[in-house]
Amino acid sequence: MTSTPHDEASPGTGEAAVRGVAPAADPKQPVAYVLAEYSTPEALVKAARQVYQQGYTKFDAHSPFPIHGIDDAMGIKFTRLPWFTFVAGGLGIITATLLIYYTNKEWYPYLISGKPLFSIPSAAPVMFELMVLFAAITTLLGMLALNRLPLFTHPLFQSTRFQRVTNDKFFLSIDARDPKYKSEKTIQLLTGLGAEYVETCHKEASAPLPWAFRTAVFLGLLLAMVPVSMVAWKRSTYSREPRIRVIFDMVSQPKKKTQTTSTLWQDGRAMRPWVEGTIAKGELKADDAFYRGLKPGGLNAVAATTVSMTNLVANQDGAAAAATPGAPATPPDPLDKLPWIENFPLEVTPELMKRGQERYNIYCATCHGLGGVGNGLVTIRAIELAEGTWVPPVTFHSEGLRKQPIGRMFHSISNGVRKMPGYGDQIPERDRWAILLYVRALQKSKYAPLSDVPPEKVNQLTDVAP
Amino acid sequence: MAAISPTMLDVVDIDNTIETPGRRSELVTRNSSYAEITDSVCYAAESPHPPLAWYVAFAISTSLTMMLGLMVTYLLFTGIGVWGNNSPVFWAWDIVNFVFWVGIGHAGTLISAILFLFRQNWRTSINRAAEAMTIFAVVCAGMFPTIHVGRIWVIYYLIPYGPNQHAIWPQFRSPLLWDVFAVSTYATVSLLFWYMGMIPDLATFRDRATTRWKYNLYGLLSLGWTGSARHWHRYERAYLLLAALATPLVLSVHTVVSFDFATSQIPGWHTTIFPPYFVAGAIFGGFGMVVTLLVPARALFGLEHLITLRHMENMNKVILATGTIVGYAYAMEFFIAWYGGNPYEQFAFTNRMFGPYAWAYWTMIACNVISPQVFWFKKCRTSPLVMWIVSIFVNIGMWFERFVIVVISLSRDYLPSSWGYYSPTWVDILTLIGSFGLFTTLFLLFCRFLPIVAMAEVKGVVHQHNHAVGHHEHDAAH
Repeated sequence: MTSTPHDEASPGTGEAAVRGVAPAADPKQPVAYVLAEYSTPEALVKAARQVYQQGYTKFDAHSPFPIHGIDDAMGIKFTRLPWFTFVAGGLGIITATLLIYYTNKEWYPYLISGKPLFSIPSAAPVMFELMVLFAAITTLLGMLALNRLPLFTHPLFQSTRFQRVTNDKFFLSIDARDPKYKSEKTIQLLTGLGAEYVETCHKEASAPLPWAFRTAVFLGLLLAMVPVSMVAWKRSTYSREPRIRVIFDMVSQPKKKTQTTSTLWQDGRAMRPWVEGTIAKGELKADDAFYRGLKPGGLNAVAATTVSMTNLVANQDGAAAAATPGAPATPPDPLDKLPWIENFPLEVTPELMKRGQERYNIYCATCHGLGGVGNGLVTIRAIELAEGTWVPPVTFHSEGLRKQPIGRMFHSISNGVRKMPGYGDQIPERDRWAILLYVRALQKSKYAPLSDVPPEKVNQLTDVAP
Repeated sequence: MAAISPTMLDVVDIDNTIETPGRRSELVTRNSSYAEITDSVCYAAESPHPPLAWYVAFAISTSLTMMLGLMVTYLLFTGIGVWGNNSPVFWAWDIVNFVFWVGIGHAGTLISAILFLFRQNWRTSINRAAEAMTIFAVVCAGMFPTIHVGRIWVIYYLIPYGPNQHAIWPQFRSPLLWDVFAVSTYATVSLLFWYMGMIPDLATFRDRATTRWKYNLYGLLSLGWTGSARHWHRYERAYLLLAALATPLVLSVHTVVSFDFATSQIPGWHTTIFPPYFVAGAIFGGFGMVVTLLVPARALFGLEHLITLRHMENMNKVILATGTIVGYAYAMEFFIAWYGGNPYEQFAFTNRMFGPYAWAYWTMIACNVISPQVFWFKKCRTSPLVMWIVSIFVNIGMWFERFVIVVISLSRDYLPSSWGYYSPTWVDILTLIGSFGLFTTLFLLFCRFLPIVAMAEVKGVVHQHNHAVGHHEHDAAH
């Protein structure tokens, strides 16, 4: 393609002079536009007003910059564009609101410091930004759509003189499809309106895009589909091969998996044997007797009841009601069937007993009373208030509780029983056992024969019958 | 229509800064005709060889950009540990640079949107370059939070995207997420605004193209613009709407950025003055950058008659005004710290003045509050050399303002046991320098390949101006 500098094109020769890059206008083609050139915006406005008043509808003025007052002269109606912007802005606000509401309140509620999951003040910035974003994009696209742009070719572009429309000249074009268009008469009209120059623009001989260009675009689009399809394929199918990783994140790290070999140790095992004096991760509370008061395998029995240990507590309300005289018989307590341990799972020492007494007085005596008969200060006060919701604690000296397996009592302290809440979170296991030891001592004290008392202490007893 | 080279013109500035009562001074000097405006703007893109200074600047800035690429690659392959960020200063130069660059962008949108709504016709000569600067500044700004998350390849976690396999969603109550929306909207809208404004000028480039390549490229970009009056009607309306949308947007962006700080509890950050103070500072810094860029650019491409001394003087007045507002904000922060009676706040501000970072604080005061005061004198306002030097001081000062806010507050908050002193590493320093390289490279490319001045708009206001001043017989005819 030879390049012809624009300033070499001779203006005013009347031919549709060929710019180096535009196809030549074919005079055999029918006339598409009549084009008139003016030097000042004022002359253009004047001519446009005349043409409009003559009743032409398909005509246009072209200028390097917007001329104010020409809208009125040409009868251009106010554009609908602001409504597009307005609606898009509203849609932006709605989109943001729904987006925040659903992601934060419905799909992934994540409570932070008790703040509301959805509140207008914290959503306002995003709502505002999306309103502006939607409105701005719509304004630009709406302007282009209403103007029927983009346009890759136009008959007027064949005119060499028309190149100055973006520089310093003013043009008036009348479409040949205008109902009032009459070849000679229209040209005469424009000449009479002070045009410096009038020419006709012909319909373009269709100039398709170059073959190579079309092929390249087609191939390019086809190639662009390849990676996308590959990703889509990989994501929707299963494979025995490891996944392709472009970036190695923490998901894939150099580590040994179970049942594999390693050269790091002499025995070649990746899995290491148990080291004495350690507890494997996750096996800290494996000791059923100590942590749950159950005989070995007790957890299986719990699992067989299909009710979890904590859910069993609820059933005890019924069991308690059954204990009150006159109440109707209730189903047997499922806890009774569990394999509770009968003996303490840790060494019983005087220190443990001391500790148990201290913990008992701290945690239990407020309700159960120092002697375990259920006359603690809280109980006395509650009965005085007579609110009706208080269930008095049972005495530890009843036949049932004296014979109850120690594991079952441990369960009661840990998870609660009737109105008593579980103390498992507050009292460590060892202390719970210590408390139980003391409770057992209290129980024993009520029914101990005189022969159990050491002879040197008998004198200290005050209420023994002589 | 031969292209005019600047050497053919006398390069002495024509002084249009003199106020004559009852008469508007000229917007562009030298009685520019429409063709003359086109020729002088297109010269920068059409001349076969740009000035030597352009080549030198381009060589330097591309080298710096490559250095930036190396620094970012090193960071991504090694981790954020290559920066100086560490307990207690977890936000350091990355956030300082981010806020700095976002602020730079504001002047562009302010000139193009707010001054447009205020019918300030003098904006037409400088808005294109300022908008371009906005885009490039936002590019630099967006880079910093992106790379500072460390795992840049999962940056898409920040946006609520459709096929969410993790079933987790961004936390819209976090100011940092507001930032994602604010900055990305700002970047998009600025780009649309910039591009839309350029469509008629790209059509000018198309119509003056001398090779098929240029014709096709500019033809594609100008979307078949014919200058139709019906098109201009909608175009002007769209431009007005975009300006009306961009005006609150520009104020909102830095407001949201300031919320990142203000919604926290760090002494020195938890302040209600932050939004207006940040916005004023951003305009101040942005105008500083516009002056820094335009003083050499107008001389290099012979645009003194379009970007006149009066334009520069007006911008210097804005710098003086906003610089003083920023000074007021500094004073008010101190006053509130004292008046509020919060001992932590009081300490934070005493520490700024006299603590280990006092050097940064006083640099900021000298650059931001004291240096623009020379613009009270007209001689300084209209001297390209003085304004250029002051504008560079303003840029330095605004960078230090962000440093003062981010680093000093974090380095000493409530617990003296967790105090620390932050120092940047060489990677920090080279990354900052490299971001200037990226910014300059983009701006130099813009000067060479796109219209630096909004030709169509300048022609429009020149026409209006001549209309209003000279053509009295025309007025009488109406």
